[in-house]
Amino acid sequence: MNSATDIDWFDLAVGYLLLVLPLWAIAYFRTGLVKDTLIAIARMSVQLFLVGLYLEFIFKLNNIWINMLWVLLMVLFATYTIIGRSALSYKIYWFPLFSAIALSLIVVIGYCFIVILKPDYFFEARYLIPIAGMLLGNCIQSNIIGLNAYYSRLREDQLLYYYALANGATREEALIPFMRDALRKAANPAIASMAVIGLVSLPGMMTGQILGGSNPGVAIKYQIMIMIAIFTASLLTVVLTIFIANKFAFDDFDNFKSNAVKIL
Amino acid sequence: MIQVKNLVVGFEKDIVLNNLSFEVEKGAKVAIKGLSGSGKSTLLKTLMGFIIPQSGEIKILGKPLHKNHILYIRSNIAWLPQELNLSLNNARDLLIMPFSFARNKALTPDEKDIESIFFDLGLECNLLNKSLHEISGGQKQRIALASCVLLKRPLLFLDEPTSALDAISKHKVISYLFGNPELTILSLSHDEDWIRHSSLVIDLSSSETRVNQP
Repeated sequence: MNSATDIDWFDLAVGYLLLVLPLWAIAYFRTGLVKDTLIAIARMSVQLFLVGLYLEFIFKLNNIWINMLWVLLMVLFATYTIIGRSALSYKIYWFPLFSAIALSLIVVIGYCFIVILKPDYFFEARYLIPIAGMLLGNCIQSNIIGLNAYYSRLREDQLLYYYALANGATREEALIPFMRDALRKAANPAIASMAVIGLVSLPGMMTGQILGGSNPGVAIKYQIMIMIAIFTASLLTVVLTIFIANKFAFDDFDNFKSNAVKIL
Repeated sequence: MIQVKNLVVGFEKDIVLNNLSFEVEKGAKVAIKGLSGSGKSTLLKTLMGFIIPQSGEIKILGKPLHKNHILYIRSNIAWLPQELNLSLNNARDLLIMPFSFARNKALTPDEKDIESIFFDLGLECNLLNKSLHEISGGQKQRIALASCVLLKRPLLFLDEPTSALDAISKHKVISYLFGNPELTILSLSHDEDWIRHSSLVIDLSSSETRVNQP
């Protein structure tokens, strides 16, 4: 396998000049986004630089505990990002989300490694960390969409929920329409992207692998595996989070706790 | 059927119901009236466990309103809300929705049951296939009421059940519900006809209770 040609640091620095074009557009039309964009570019650069350093170090060590700890930190970070972006209460939601994400990752990564990838060493950093990262990135997106849909619908359609309860539904039955909505909204972007993948866009991982010297034939197999894993992990997390959170976010009389969501 | 003793409901210092007590016997038709803001809706929500009272005792069908009994209580009542802005597709969904719950499945009405109750409440059966946007508020109200009746509960909670009805439909509804001696009804109402037919009237604005003589 020939590996990718390295990029010279100076050349990469010159590459930043390309950003002059979008920055000009953002400034010219007074979008108010100049500062945000500059900060985002800076964060992207620093974060990736540091991750490069960490990963090089972690790959070299390839120690099971350090790898697990790294994944654990990623899961925690994903948990807090999702809660913050869904305006939920940290106190009530950190446990449901954390356990839902962790469980989905264990199931999905476990299955992929045992059935498809079969790495010699199960906790191989080179496989475990990038795959976990890719799954988590997508879990964040679908969970923010799914949880926002669930709780905003619960707020707007309170009558439907109470009507069901008062006419003999259990809490779980009364929540079915809300779960249906959350799953629909969370699954839709993923379904759309699966349906057009390869036609319109070449996915980042596959592009990276090809640039890194893999055959397209190998790259697509990885991509198919990762698409299946992403879809499963994302939806599993949404369902599990809502199921687990339902145990904590309602009182004994099935009323939604008003302190569970920040804007009510 | 319902015993309420020294009920206090409110949020912190904003007390909505202060020291309310009343009892509802089996078969009674109770109307609760009062100016808006007098706590009518709050009372109904409290009886269904949707608002937790500050103090006082509530017993429904012999059971205290407690987390262990809430499912029992809620599966022995039926509630007709005043607003029926439920996000459902058509009239049939509105009628059938409560029968999708495990506890009510065995009660699912067949076409004959539906025809019979629709006739009693002055509704046409061809309404069932119409979307909820196409039918009037009064039709929606009676379809949801039909659903409450078909659930065969001993106790009905009706929130302004005649608010959207014309005189003819109103009298059909009154004679159907009030003619059934088994049925216990607790209603919130402004409607003079409805109040006149009720056996007990509780006025929350003046905390006065009046027993109508039949």
